[in-house]
Amino acid sequence: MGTKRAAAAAAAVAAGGAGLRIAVARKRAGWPTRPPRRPPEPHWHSVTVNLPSDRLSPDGRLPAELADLGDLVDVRVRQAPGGRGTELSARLRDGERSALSSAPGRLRGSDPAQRLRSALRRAKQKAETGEVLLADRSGTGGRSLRGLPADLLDRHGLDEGRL
Amino acid sequence: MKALCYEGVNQVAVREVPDPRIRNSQDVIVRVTHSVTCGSDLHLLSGFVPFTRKGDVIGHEFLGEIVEAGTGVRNRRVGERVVVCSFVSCGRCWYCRQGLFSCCDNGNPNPAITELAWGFGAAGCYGYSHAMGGYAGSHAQYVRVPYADFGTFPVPDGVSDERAVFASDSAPTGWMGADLGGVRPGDVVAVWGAGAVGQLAARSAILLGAERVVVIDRNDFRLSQVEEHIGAETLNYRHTDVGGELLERSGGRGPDVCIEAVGMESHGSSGPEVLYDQVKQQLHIETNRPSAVREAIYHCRKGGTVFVLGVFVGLVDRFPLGAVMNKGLTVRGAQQHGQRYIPMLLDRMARDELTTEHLGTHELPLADGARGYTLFKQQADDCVRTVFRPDW
Repeated sequence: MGTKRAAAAAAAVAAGGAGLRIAVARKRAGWPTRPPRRPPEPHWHSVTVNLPSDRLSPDGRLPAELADLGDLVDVRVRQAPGGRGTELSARLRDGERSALSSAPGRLRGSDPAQRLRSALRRAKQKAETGEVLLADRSGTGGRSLRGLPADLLDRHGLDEGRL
Repeated sequence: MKALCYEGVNQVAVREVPDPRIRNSQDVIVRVTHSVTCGSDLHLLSGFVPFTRKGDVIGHEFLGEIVEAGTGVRNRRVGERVVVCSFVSCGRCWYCRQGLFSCCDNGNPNPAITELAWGFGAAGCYGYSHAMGGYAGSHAQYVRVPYADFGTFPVPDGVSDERAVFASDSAPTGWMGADLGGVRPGDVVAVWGAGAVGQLAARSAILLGAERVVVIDRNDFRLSQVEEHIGAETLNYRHTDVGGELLERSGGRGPDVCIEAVGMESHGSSGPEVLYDQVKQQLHIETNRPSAVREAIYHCRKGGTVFVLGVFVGLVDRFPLGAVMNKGLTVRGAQQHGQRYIPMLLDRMARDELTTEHLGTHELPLADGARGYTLFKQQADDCVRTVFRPDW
């Protein structure tokens, strides 16, 4: 057993040494190296609104829900293909945090991406139907551990999801 | 007001809950006179539909009278007798404009979960979990109805409440299966499930000109209803070789259109597979049991269409993709696009082309809600559907 372990360790060292030699040789020969990792471009979130752009955004004015986000976002408005209306897109200027690092803020409802998603959905609803649909809040259920998923969904149903 | 509430797995109870109120200008409040149990409620009661909480009001197929209307309601007035589509759809997004009302972009105020689960969210539905919008259900004295100009339909004089209430969900669901399944004159159509939706899918196929319609179930009473009220042929899979019969009745071709109207708790006809599905479903390894879908795909003719009307929410196992691909099948499914069909169906009801009152085998006051669901779930006393009367 000990002999096998020693052989495996020797093989690993040899492989590592070979890898290092190859990397040094590539660099000396002027081979292209992997470009430095850059932060990804902020992701565009989009809804398609079933209205022509001049009705969604008359005189270039943004829907109030997005205008209210001010410098937090970039906004893009363009015609959707095939008579599907207008694509309304927005992205956070400062980019988005990872799912893990944004989790506490998302649970509290203070994550900027949540504001963006909610604004897009509300802008679309208001443009298409004239108002933002409010959920029912009836039933008899008090707070309970089993009801927690439904409670969370009621709180964040509009600002989470794939949008 | 009084309402029938979800209290936990297989438990419902009548509770006192707050009266609904107008929350959006396009809402109406409907005083419910008739509200029907639906097979899809059983999936919810069995615990297979997540995001349902204790105290939620259930029920989604109903009829009543408008007692209050928001300031933005244009085409409805207080006092009208209306049937309400079980799906909440705005009527103005791109999907609604295409007639795909149950795919509405705006009808579900909680789209996050269904987006994550299915890729995109569906419309909302009354009394069917917070994932479908968290709307209070119709087994109650009053219901708030959003987008009322698009989701409520005046019932023609001469159509009884007992008939019209099924225009809320069962009839448009059944019609959609036959219509979007592409039923044409001369077709042979097979329908799995002889509950209300299956019966009305069969009737719809007949009205669309199908030459032969065969309904498959295990319950003799339901099958006798099919023969008496629908005018279709029947097969009881407990006593019959379904495949052999379908081949014989279609000249060896197989049915042109197969409509599945069973859903995620299918019992199925082939023994070991049923046990396999039940064990996996109980262990939550597989969330839905698709026996009837498998059979429909297997028996459908080459190049035919299978339409899934039964409700599924999650994952199925042993899906016969090879048969779909090699036989060149078209597989479709949808929640009901009721707004597209309800006015036409009410007209057909007025002309007696579509009769539905036989489906409401038991009428009970809302106070008997728990008993109504027990009868319905166990198919006891030949129960096909229980109709609750909150006004009793």
